[in-house]
Amino acid sequence: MKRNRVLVLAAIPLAFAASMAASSQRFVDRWLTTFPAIRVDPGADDRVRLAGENPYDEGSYDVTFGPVDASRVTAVVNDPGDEPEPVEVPAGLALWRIAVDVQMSPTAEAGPCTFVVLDAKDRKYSAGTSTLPGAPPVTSACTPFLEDDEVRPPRFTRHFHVVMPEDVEPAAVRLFYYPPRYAQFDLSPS
Amino acid sequence: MSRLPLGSSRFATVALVVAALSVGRVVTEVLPDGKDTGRPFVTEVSVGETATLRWGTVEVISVDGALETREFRTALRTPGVWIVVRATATPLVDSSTIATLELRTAQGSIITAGSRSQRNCPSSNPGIPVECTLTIDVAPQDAVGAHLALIHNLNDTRYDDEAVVDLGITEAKIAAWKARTEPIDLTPRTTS
Repeated sequence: MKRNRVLVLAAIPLAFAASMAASSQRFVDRWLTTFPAIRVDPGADDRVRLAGENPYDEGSYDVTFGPVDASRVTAVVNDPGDEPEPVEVPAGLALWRIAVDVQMSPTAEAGPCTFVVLDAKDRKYSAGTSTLPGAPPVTSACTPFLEDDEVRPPRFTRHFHVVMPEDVEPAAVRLFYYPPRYAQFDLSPS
Repeated sequence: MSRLPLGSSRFATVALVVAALSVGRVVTEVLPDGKDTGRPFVTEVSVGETATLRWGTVEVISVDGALETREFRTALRTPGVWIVVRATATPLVDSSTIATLELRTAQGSIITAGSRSQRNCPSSNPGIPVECTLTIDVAPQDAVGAHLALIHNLNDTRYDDEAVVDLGITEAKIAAWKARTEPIDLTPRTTS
């Protein structure tokens, strides 16, 4: 009985210290990347299907990403088939094009899609060419821009352009759709 | 009057409770309260020094001033003085940049980015430095001895890392800037 009481009292400062540590910013940074989000890896067909109830609104979603391909380029091609727009890439930088196959119903409303590239050290890179002088604007949307009379095909390829330092390469691509799950495609080293 | 029997176990329990309460009291005294509760982590540097922050590195390259700035064909003149700061920001972890700024005067007031004071600092990916141009419209007496806080988080600076740069502005510099007739050209050096 006495021993239990001493243990309980001794646990109070330990619990206090643990709660302080758990709420520290560095610890939050660590668990935020794991707990609230669920990583989904591609299957044997190199695809990831994300489907479920829309957590923000009524309705459901169903989208399949993959396969994903990365290549180092010197021209922007926003949509497959477009004329390549050459880009002057300064020394020390590299331009990468990430091609992502997407399947979704032509009538489905596009969800909140976010695209991120990771390097081998888990640093995160966003799509964009604003750091390249004179580069054309690039897309960061997961669905193509359509004219009023156009219908989105059930399967299409999106191109994302990412500027990275020359000495690092894309190691993985993350595609967030509706939380909590996200697709992650590991890329084989070139 | 009889003495209260006090066994060793009860004495230990009471001692532990008193000790726990004492620790709690000390912790309460030591922890910040009020406006200090969520104060940011400040790295103080001078012009030309690199501040290494959790999200990236920041360096103020130059500090200039004039009564007028010009960008393309637009000129802005002030009855005070324009401070023009050129800085580089290099993210370390993810795509980000300097999101906002605060000019902290020697008198204790804070001038934030607004309609006339501008921050041109595009977002960049890790390892890729981006050049930022920061312009602040300020009364000359507020510029002397002012420090510039370069802040990463636009909406919430609590617990955030921020660089605070001593701009090294003196009364002599203010006088030179006010005597200057040519505007400072803010036109980007490379445009598409």
